[in-house]
Amino acid sequence: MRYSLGFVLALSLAGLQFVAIFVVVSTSYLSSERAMLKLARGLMEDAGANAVEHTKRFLEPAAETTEQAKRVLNSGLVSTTDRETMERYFFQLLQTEPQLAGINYGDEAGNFVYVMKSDGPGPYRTKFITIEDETRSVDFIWRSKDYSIVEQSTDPADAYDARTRPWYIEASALGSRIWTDPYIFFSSQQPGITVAAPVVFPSGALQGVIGVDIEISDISVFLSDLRVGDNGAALILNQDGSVLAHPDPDQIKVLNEDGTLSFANINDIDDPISRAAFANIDRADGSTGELQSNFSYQDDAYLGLFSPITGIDLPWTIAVYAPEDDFIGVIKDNRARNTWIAAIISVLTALAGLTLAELILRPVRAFAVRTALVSQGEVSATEPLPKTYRELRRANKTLINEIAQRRESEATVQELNRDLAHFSRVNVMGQMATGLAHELSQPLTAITQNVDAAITTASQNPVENQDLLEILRELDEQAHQGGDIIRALRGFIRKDDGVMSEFDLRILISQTCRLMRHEAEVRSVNLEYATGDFPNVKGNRVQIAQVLINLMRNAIEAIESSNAKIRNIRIDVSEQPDRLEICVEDTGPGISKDVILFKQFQTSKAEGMGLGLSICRKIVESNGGRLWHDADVQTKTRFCFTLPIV
Amino acid sequence: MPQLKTLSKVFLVDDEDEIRLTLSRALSKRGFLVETFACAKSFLDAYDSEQPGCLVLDYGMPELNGLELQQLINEKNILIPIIFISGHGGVRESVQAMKAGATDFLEKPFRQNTLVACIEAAFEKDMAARTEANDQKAAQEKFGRLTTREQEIASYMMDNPSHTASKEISRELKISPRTVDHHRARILEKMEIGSVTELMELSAFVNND
Repeated sequence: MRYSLGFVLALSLAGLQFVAIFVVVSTSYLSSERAMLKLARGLMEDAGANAVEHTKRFLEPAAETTEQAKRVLNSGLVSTTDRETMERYFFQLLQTEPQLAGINYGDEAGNFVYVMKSDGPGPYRTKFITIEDETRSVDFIWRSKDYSIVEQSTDPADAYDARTRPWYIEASALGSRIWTDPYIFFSSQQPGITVAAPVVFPSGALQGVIGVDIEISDISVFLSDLRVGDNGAALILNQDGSVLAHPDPDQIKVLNEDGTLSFANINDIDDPISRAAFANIDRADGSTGELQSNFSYQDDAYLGLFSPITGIDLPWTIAVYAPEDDFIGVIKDNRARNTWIAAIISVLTALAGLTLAELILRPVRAFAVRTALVSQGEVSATEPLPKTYRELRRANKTLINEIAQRRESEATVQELNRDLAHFSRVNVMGQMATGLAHELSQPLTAITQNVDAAITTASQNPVENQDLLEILRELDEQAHQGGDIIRALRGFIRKDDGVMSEFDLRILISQTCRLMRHEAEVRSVNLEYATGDFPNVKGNRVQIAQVLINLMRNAIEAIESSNAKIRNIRIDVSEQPDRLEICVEDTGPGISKDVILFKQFQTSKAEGMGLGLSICRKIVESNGGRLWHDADVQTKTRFCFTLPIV
Repeated sequence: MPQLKTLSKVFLVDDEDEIRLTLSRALSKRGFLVETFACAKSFLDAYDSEQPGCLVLDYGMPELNGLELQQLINEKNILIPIIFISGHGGVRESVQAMKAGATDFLEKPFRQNTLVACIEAAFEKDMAARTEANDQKAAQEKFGRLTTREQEIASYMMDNPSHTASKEISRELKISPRTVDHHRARILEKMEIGSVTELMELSAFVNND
């Protein structure tokens, strides 16, 4: 485990949270964006349709007025020769239709009547061009709204000839009503368009052409009021790309080198967005249908729409554009905001994760601390657990068992170490005894040899040396007694011991008694042991001897401490079906009830270590037997142990 | 028995001066011929195989110990009986020594009577071995006098004591019974024996391969 639980929890919770929120935000954004863009398209289409409708309605009165004037003039209700009536008629028409700029009539002879709205001395101005007897006179009359004359003037220099104007030529040539190309009105310098229709004699011959001017700068005003998103705009383009109407009316006129004004081309106007939007739209293929486009300008995405003006015979197109952000800006902002919210929530979640991890870990930590204390033995394993998880409680049970087992085995190891130390002491004693036996055997042998030599010599005169021979034989016998002790010692500690073997227990008992005889005698204790015929037992000979010595020494010491009169130790052997039972009984004071036998390090002896009996019991048990204190025997002390028969 | 004491010698090998001194003195007093050596090597150097006797050998000695000397003696095909004396005792050592052919194993200090009995038994054993060796040598020498064919017939008879009739031999060796009779007479004459039965007795001493 490389990371802490808290870190992992915090990171994963925060990460999950962030991913989840981000996915939701993104998908909702995408679907909203789609819907919004669709809506935007609708809005733009509406705006386009609105503009188209407005333009149509704006232009229609001109057409109607033209038709009406044409019919009036054709029918002769107003005579083309009655110029005062015509002027008055035109004046009334102009008053009823406010978007009309002027109405004129020019005839084949060159006569011309033109009533127009004016900025001059009066709101209306009439221009007459009269050709009479080859003479041409140009008169101007300014009138107020009530038709009263405000001012009059003439302009002999005026060279205007209606018959040379495009609208006249076109209408007369076609013989039907026409729309001229838009142009900048000469007099008002406003963009406009003229509707013209031929006026004919009843014979059908051309009498003249009636023209109605309409200023289209009002369309620009309308367009500037038209809302297309927040930052969108609509404009009207002519077939040739010239801009007829623009929210900024100043954009549409350009001053030519010859001083005349003309329409600006879309590619030239000072409106980069419009240029970007529509300059590259190539409608040269003559397609007239609606066209949608997407474009970008200065890294902002825009929507574009072309909508041809239908229902009127003009090749105009309404062009609408708007930045996408006008429609989806809000949800874009929303997305950004949501992303931030997601980030903040993630951070909060991470904090929550850390807190949660802390909450989760606290019992674990408490548990770990406790376990450490238990393993060091500072806290008992039986102490109640701190409040913790069920899993940990279960783990704790196992752990505590482990610890208990470990402590137990540690104790066992210590015990074994103590035993080992004891046995190694015994072993050193054994080695010393072996060496001693060897060293003693040499002089004893020399003595016996010398005695033998002496006996042989003395035997040559047996009668004389009778006493000497007797002494020598005793000497020989005594030397051999010493030899017997050594032999017993040697047999007792044999090199090849330390393994389980079969042996005669009686021999071992007699050897042991031989070795203990001195110790017993100096304390005036009598040693007795049973004779009889018993089967061999199996065990570790030296270890069993050790047990016997231990028990006998205990008995001797007990008797000595009691100053008893009868000082006797008896070793009995009895045969059971599968084992021999050996009892060491002494006439000592017995064992008081409050002494706990076989307990390590508990001793009633000043020099004892309390190891004797407990080790003896262990030795006997490891040899397949049992050792116990026979408490049934009163006034005496009796320890018994068994050994398996071969 | 008395002549054994005068013919045979007790070779005593022990690294302890006191033992060598007292033991040799006591045995000499009892009428034994005793020669002592302080180590195994000096015994081997001085040993004369013609001298009958027995070896009383200390088990625990520095350098070459008793068991190792016994092994050397066995390797050299010296047929001297060995009586071990040991200050260490030990069942395992005694078993090892007895397995390697020792006559006895005594723990120090031992009763002199026991040692004397052991020595006398060893002398007898040595004598018997020497006699047997001599007999074998003599028999082998006599067997060597026979011709190849005679050796063949003698060997057959020794190997098959139940088929010593001339007919059986002639059938086996594919020669005539008369020839067999002739050879048989020559065999008995050359080996200085009177009957086939005596030949059988010699067979133990003859290496007829």
